[in-house]
Amino acid sequence: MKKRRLFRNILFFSFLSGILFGLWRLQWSENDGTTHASRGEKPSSISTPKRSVASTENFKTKFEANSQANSDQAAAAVANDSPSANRLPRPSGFPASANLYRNAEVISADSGPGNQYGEFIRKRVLKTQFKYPLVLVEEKITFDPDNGQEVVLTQNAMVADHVLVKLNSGFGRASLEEVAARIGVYIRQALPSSGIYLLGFDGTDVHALNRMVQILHREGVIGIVEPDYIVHAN
Amino acid sequence: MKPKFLFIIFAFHGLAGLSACNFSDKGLTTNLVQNEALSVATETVTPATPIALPLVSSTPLVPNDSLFQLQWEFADPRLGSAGINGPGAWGVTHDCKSVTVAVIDTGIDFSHPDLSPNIFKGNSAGPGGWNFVAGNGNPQDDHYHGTHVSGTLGAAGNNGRGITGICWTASILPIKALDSTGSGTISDMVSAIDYAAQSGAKIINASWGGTKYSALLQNSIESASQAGVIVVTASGNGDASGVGQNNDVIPSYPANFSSGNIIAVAATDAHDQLSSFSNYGSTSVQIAAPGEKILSTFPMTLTEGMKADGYVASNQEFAYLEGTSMATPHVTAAIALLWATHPSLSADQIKTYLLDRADTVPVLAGKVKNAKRLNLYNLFGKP
Repeated sequence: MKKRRLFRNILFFSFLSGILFGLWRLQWSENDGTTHASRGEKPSSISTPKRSVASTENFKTKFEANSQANSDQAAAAVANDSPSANRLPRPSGFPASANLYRNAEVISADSGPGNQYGEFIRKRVLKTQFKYPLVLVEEKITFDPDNGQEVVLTQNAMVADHVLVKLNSGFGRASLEEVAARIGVYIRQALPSSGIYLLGFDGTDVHALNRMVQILHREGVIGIVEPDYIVHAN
Repeated sequence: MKPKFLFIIFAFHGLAGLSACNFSDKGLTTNLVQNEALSVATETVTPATPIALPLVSSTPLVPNDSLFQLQWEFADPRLGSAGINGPGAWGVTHDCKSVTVAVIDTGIDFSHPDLSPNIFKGNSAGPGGWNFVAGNGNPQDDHYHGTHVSGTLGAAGNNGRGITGICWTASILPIKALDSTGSGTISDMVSAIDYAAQSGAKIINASWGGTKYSALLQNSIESASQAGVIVVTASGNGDASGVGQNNDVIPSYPANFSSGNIIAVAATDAHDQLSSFSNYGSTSVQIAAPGEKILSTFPMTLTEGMKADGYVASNQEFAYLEGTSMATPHVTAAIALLWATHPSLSADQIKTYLLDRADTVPVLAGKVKNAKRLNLYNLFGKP
């Protein structure tokens, strides 16, 4: 009996302390000034519009090309100062790329076979507002077993219609121009400080970039060839 | 890869912070006079370290910037905070003007009164910055990320307004290579790094990254290394769900380059814990620094990038952001202060000393190499 009562008491106090801890955390997260308490009170003139960390679903919705509606709703919520204004849905992952691909037009797409975990690779060429509008996006996709919705696991993006090359020592621009003419590419830009060339081609096909990298790898003139990957602010 | 904005707080023009200012001009003057008279004494750093620099006894110097009290990251960790002890270090030095620091980012808001005094104005080596996105000499920020990063590094300190940067006086070389969405190409990053090195920058702040290895980017960073440039870079902000990843397993670049001049930075919170979004790596991440709820400068006018991210106000000067991007400039500025104080040191010596003098935070063990978190004061002051 004593043991049972002791167990019940422990259970009760654990539950109570869990609730208290939860309330404390809630207050902490709601009151930004608390973290600065040791440095003095927060000036009342600082307003604190907060934004929630969006779920993966939000990210997926927002990431989808041509899905302006969701972000429009969010912007409208902020503009109207409605109760939901402080809960602006935003992606918890890849927000820079979400903006980059917003309203993007899908030029071409292909998906590979799924693996044993139900994951597969999807490639799409998107026409964006980026400096180089054609962007190849490679994503590892799976589906949420609970709701069947698509989840983007990883994402890599690169310019779809040029590659970066650096020549082997002893070769110059003339050699590259010769190669370019033979395989049907053009010099889009030269970066004199690094000796890198941007070789342009028709990148509308989702497999064009990969094919071009393989072709250029076989050229003795070229020392390094790689896609012009896209990086993002952290 | 992303900026983290779990909490964003606008501080509106002139309204904020005045009530937070407990430090009068008079009090500051007293502090400055005390600093001039501070006793300079030298001592040898622990025998295991390869270099020994003079450490100084000083009185903490608290700037009179109106929002300073909201910059939790500058508190003294000896008093139980998770800060880097800015005032302690500033009692010794706060001038980085002699060291050009390149911020390769979305640009900078030239009109920001807390930044404009500290923007590199150009010299015989080149103009005051470049925009590699547009291909012109105007690296004006059309996002907000670069302006925020620059403020942590070098917002004018002790000028009675806004925030303070770690460098009260600085020489920030703005190089725009990320566009209004915060995205850029490897080709522009390579050009930007080359430009920074050619312009005489000693340090590059690279608060960006990607998951794909680029030999050309690594070559560029190693060329900068040969010119004695240190590249401080963000470890990354986790996976698609915003949960920090282990860079030792899933690399992020440039943070994971093995180049000797790279310093990869993770983010910590106000409790000295690794931020949940921060990438980590016991071999690939060298140091941590505060990266949550960081108050810094924000564009004076509504930019394209701000609109895209849902900002509607156009007159905010300061905002809280978080991310490993925000942790990175703390380390960059610490190096600038160190180099300005000891200009004869090599990049290797600076890096070694910085990491050696950082605090060991046990909870970072297994997450950050040697469990190190930046401590600004330890670089200059007596323990």
